[in-house]
Amino acid sequence: MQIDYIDTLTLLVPADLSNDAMTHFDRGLKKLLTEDPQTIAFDTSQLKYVTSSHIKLLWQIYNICLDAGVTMKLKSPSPGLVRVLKVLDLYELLTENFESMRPQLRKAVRIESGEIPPPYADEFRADSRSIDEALEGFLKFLRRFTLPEVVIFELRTVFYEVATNIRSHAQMGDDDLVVFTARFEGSKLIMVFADSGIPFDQISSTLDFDPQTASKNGQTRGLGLTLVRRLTDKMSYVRMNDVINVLTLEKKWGP
Amino acid sequence: MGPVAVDERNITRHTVRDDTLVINPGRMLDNNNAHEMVEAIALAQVKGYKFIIMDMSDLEFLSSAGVGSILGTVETSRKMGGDIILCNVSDTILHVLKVLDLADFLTIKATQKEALTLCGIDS
Repeated sequence: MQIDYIDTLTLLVPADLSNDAMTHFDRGLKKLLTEDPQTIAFDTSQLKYVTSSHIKLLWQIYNICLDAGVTMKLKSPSPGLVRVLKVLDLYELLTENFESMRPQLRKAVRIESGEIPPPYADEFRADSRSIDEALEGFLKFLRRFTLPEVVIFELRTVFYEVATNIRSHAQMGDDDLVVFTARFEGSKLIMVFADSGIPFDQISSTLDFDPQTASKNGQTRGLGLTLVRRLTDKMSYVRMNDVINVLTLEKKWGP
Repeated sequence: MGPVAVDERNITRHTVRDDTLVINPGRMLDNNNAHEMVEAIALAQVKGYKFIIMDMSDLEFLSSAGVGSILGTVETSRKMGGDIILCNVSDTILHVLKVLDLADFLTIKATQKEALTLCGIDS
């Protein structure tokens, strides 16, 4: 950890997320916050390889800074980190600077006034119970808005199918997390799933589905991708830095 | 076998005739219990139940695996001269079936009484 007092308070974000490193980082952050700074710069130069756990950490830092009324800046983000954050639609949120503060503040005011729904973010392990819990959290978020019940049901189905596909195919470790974000754009919801499992493109794996054939073949699996594709309006997949699977889904409703 | 109280993922079943079984999948039919549903249906078919009525009156969520448990077993029932008949299907569950083009492929009745009538049983 390095603390730099030259023009703004700076804290190094560790690449190593072991308990010791995190305890050290937490102490450093708490210490900086006691100095009541306007801005803290988080030096991410060590994050050459970004995992979902790093994204989770940055998201936690963002929320801590938000609660403390402190502006968060990212210092020296690697191109890989920038790319991941942009895909997750977190880049602008986490990289406030004086040039971009005005639109950010305007956006914050619009969120505060209820004009724009706040984004949603969560992370969860790819096991059955964690998926159920994450789904409950997502449903609570959705129910804060006046969405048609059928849309909520469709979004629930999409979340469940994607999450269980990650569970079945990404071969993630017990401690690996899936990062999920969702944000509204008018009558459209953008959902992003990011995981650090093996490469798994849920889009290219999608096959045409025919009930007659499926029934004759006794097919009991593989319908999830068809369901997701038919319940969403747009899907895209990228493998980032050969480390993270990022699946983005867009769901529209209304006229 | 008599009906049992509905649990979230508790599949219950009861016989209404030698060749007709009613199955209630509970509140959720998803990846966690779809394999149990496949086993329950397959066992019933082996035992000679031609008609399997799946009463979905308690069902709140049906995942693709749940759909697969029905789709993958219905052909066997039809070859036996019977069918898997869904009843008391909520609008949202029906929506999932429609999205997968299964609403016309699967036999769906409004009530269990109508499903039983289709099996030749007057309740």
